[in-house]
Amino acid sequence: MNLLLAGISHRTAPVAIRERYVFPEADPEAPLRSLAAEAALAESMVLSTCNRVEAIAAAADRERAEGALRGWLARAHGHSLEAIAPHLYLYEGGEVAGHVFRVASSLDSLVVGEPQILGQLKSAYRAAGEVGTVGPVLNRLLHRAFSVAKRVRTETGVAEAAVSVSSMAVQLAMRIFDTLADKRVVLLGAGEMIKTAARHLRAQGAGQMLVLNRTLDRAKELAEEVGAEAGPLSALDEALPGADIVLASLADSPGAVTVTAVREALRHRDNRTMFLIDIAVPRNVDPAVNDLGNVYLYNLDDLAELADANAGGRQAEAERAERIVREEAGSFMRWFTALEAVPTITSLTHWGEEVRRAELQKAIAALHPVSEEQRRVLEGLTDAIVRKLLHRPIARIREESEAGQGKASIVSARHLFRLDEDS
Amino acid sequence: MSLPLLIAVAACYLVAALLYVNLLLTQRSGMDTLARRTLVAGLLLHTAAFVTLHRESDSALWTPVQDSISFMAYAIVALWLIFQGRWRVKVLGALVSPLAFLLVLYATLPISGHGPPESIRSIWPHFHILLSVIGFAFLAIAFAAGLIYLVQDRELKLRRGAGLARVAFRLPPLEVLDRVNTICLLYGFPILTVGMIMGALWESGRTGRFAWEPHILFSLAAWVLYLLIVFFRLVWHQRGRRAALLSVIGFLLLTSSYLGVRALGLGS
Repeated sequence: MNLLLAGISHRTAPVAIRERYVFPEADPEAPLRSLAAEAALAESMVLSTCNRVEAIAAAADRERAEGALRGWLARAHGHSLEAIAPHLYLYEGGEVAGHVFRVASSLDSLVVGEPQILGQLKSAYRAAGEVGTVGPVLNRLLHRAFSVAKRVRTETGVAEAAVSVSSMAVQLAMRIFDTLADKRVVLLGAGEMIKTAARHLRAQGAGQMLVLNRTLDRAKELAEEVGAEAGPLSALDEALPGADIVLASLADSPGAVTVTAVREALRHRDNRTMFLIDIAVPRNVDPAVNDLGNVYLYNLDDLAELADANAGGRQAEAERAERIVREEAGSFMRWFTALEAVPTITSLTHWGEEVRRAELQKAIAALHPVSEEQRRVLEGLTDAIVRKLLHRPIARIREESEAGQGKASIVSARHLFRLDEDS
Repeated sequence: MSLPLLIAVAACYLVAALLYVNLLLTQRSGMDTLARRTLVAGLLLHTAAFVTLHRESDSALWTPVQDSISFMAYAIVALWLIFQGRWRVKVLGALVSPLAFLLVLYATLPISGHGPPESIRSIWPHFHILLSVIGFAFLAIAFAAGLIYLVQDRELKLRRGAGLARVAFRLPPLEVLDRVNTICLLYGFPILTVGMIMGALWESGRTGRFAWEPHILFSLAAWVLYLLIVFFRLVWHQRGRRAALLSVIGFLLLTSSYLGVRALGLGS
């Protein structure tokens, strides 16, 4: 069995590239089904967030599985392999475990330590479970990942040191505006990111807030929670002239805010400064908006870069977290490599049990009649002999497999005990 | 004007400038108070310098060009000290104090230029110089705010986290800079205008004609530019970057008309 992961993330591709490969949030099962349709993969799952699109799989044939993952990532969005190749990374074996653990612990996040990624990974795993594309390998991998994330959160300061996207946005706003009290904030979308940001802005004393969302009910729900007004997304053009700060996080809405709309809004608001924060992937705001005077546009990558530059003492915490990840990835891989010994050990035990039963039957027949007491003694005796005899080879096979050197002993065990011959 | 006193004043302004730059770079608490106190000390010495000057010559306060330039520095520092707390733009001192220092330094230089040819008993020249200099001081602070606005704007547009951006994080927010720029423009421009009109009246009253000299042309050009900026802001509702840029250009033009042209010995 091989463990493979292919993907693109903020480390390998800028937002302009990433947004072409993101799967719509609305239907998380579609990519899972199309990936599972790849014949080479025994188990698979898909993680698609603003910052990464990754496909994880367990497969018997490494070569075929690798081709399947690469091809699927490109084809799923109608792009060519050549287009995605420079941004694509591929991990296998222990690298996959390490990577998934780092992702879960938010060590690979754009904003290191941000808590959202764990939730995203959990829902990706849940969706895969519902569609039924995961099996024993990915189940174990993901459960380990969740517990590693928990360890990193409780044992290191990575999470506390996290400069969240919204606090970065507030810091930037304070370089533009004297106070937020008389400012109007327009929030586009009603997802988790918007909720966090809305709370943050409220805590910083933001004056009025307006939530615009495609589904009005969700907008109202969030608005009520944070004390804002709510409206449908269609009210955007009317709302824009009054907006000092725009925070956009609409799913699947590339270019929802156009240059023309912002220019028009500026005219109506006498060129008063506007600050737009686009944390959506694909991006909601046309990047050319930043070329307008008195308008400042930041996307997710920009905020992360600033957050990085502002972070000083997080290095040590990150190193401690990396140590936990390495340790846990090692222990997962011991389990995973030992997996190859499992069929041999099972056959060996089966064979032993078969021999024992056959000989026991013969002995009982010869001793007839046998009391219940005597029968129990015979059962115990044979069982102990077989188990003790097989213990040594099985223990050796397991040991060597966990060390990743089980191949030789597995082959000789199968040969010596004639496990591959039909009996 | 007493040279040793003036050098002491320049030293104070220079130290204040260094303290303000330090404040900007390190954000050390207490640095701001120290810088302000140094400026106040400089201003007191500067006042003493004017008093001795008045005692020495009973004719006028600022007949030589150097004295009026020294008075510009005085007005800038005084205005700054009055308003810096209210405007919450402490680090602007990192621009205002060096400016005051340079002006005082300039005033200590022996330059051939001379003021009005004879001391005049009329009150007009005094008002002309007083108002022009106060207007100029306001516009100087508008210039400082405009310049810092441009830096902050550029850094925000570039969206970087390193280099100059680290300092830009400590600069006042754009909104405050724009407000200071506007207020100073709206005070400075009318005051300067009245000052310039008085100068013109006095000049024409004295000589009977209006002399189109280079420094007057430059001043007029700067004045027209400032008029445009006022229009730009109030009538066309422009603000932010372009307004800041114009106020920087306007001030450079005004300064060159006053200092440069005279230094070259072209003016009267």
